[in-house]
Amino acid sequence: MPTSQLTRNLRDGELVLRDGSEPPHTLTVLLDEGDLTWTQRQRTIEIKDRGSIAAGHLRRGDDESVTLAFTAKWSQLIGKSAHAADPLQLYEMLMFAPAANITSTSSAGEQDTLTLEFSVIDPAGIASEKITFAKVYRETLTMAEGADFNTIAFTGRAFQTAPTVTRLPAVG
Amino acid sequence: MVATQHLHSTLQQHWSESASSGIPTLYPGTRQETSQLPEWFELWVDALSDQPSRRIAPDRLDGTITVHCFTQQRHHPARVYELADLARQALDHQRLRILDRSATPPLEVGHVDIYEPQIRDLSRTHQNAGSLLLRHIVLTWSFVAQKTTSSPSAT
Repeated sequence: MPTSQLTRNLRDGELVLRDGSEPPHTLTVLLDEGDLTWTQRQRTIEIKDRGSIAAGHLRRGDDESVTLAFTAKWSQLIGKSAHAADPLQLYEMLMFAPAANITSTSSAGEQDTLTLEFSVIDPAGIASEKITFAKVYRETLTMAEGADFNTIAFTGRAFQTAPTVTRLPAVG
Repeated sequence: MVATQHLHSTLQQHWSESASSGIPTLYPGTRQETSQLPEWFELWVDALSDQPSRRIAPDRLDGTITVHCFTQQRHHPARVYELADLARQALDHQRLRILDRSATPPLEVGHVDIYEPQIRDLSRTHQNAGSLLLRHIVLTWSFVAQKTTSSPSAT
């Protein structure tokens, strides 16, 4: 039962996007800021008995999808869209640019989605984890200039109540 | 990583080709008697820092370049500003290729972006110290050095 009490930080993370192609197109986000956040929400309906909590009870509310956000430095917006031999770029993958041939992980006719995998490597090498967000769709994509670097900020949702967390095989 | 050795040699090479105009420049580790010099530069890369980043992120090194402009000319006290302008022309908004000159031919290993300078006039300090002729302006640029790489990794 490998366990590790070493805390993790942004240096230990790695963000990978996958599409629905077979085999999938994958893009490792090398320039992300290390600011990935996600929120798992649970809805609950409070049933009070004539205003009283003591005599009331709770019911499960509707499922709530996971919200997530991350920011990446911007090197170039398009690559594969401009030239088929160029490497795929983050912007064109998130935007499902037609010339980039990105395929949704959802069925035809549904909203375009991707799989997002966030790996957190255990510094001790024994309890690394992968957090997989399925059916991730875009809500906003904000491009911003900056004095040191431009950024692409993604916000979206994963259409599931919680991401899937798995342990990665120990290294060595 | 961006080797500091390659970064220093790139900056010094660029400086010697574009700014010195026959004006002596003292680099770190060099020694020169300056009491008889009418003017001279000193060039330093005096701070380097890595920012927190993913282990897999491409190398990026932030830093500052400092150029000291000195003149001691009784009949041309404004000469120090001309030196400062020479320095600005040489370094403001420059993008330089970082070369590994130990390779044959020299190998491009990255590039450095030099941004805007901060300029300070320290002449008054020297006047208080009793050196009435010495004029001294300090220019400091921030820069970012990055290793040459294609950015997102994709298949």
